[in-house]
Amino acid sequence: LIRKLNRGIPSVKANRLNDTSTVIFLGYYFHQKGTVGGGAGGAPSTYIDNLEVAFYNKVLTSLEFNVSEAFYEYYSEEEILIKELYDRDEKIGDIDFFQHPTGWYVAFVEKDSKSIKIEKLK
Amino acid sequence: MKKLISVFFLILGIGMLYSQEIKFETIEDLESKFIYSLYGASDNDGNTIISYYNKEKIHYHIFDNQGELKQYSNISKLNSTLAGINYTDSTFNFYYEINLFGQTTGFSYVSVNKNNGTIREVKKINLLHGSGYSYVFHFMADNRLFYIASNLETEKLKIKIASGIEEFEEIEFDSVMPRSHWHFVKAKFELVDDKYRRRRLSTSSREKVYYNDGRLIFTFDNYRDMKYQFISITEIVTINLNSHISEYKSFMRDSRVDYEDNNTYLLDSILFRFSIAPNFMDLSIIDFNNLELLNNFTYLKDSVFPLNTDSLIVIKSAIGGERMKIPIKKTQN
Repeated sequence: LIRKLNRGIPSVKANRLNDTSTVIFLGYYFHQKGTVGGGAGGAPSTYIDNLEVAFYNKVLTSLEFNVSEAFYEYYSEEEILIKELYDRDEKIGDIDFFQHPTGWYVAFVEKDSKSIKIEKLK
Repeated sequence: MKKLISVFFLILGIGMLYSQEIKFETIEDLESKFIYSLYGASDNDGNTIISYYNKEKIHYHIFDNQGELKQYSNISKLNSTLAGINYTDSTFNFYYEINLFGQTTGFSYVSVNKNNGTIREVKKINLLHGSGYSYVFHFMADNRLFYIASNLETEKLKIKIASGIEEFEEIEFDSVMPRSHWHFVKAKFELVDDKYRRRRLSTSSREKVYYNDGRLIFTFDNYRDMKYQFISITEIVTINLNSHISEYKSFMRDSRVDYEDNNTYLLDSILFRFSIAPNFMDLSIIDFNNLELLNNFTYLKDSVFPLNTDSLIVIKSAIGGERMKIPIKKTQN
């Protein structure tokens, strides 16, 4: 059982990069010390210890691996955008994204002015 | 030729629409800066609603398609989680979960009229009606709310689809799971949808749901047998909501190998399947339609991976533009 926990839980996500290539994320989720079972993915008790990123080229049907040893957070696209906004202005409160016929927009609370602003994502 | 010209103007029209930017009026003079559960949604015409919790109320602001504030209304706070928002010609509809002993048994609907802001609230609708069905999963997709329940005795799946307040379609399927029906009921599904708000793309869930063009695809990776051992198999249940046909198929890489765990991800019609075994890992690339193995890559433990010389991997956002660069260190293996 210990050996299995140490191996972690495999994770896979794929994304289109362009017409011919696909990027695949392969991750191992490891449990932190003192936590056993459950709660994989995004729960406080787990983190990605090792993320391996693979490019799959549909034309060549080949695969290249890059291995990252560093721990870093794995953000969803929305969370990356949130992070960018927070980087721009820490005085932003709650936030949401929505799709409008003219594109994606973000609604966010400006704490100082007690207001809600809506901007188009560039 | 006429077709080509039509397609050209259609693409041009979509391009011009996306290049437009609506300047939304700012919502000012909030009672408090402590706003939470902020949500936005637009309909096809560009009418937009913003909702949020503040003090003891839920507030709704409606904008017209030029971004001007048109209506405002509020209701007393509901002690439930927002499951999703959809719209009809005349209303924006908010679905708030009703929980009973950990099961979502129904929803409170709040319908906000786009033209005059009037609110219609329908509380505590029990979708199961004591029919022996248990809640499995719900999600929003395609401007509709999907609610999936399962009957353990009859082994039937029931899918309720809400397109508007009290506008329900109900479809019932025989279960196509070959193993215990409990497996379906006990699954902790993760919806794979890039548009799904506020969700971490953990992708480690072994039970995923995909919604694509009127098809629901459930994937199950691994299960434990009677001896509580993992069986490394990928099972797929596809439900066609238009033809009402459900299908089951499964994929096992190699039954002779003692795989410890595996996980899959479906992109377009390709299933990426990542497995680990005591001494190697395997990435299989599978044609989803016929489950034919297109390619596979196997690496022994402690072997040297072929490395890219690039030091950065750029992730392109589906929304547009470059969003993140991940520093990649070379392995020491």
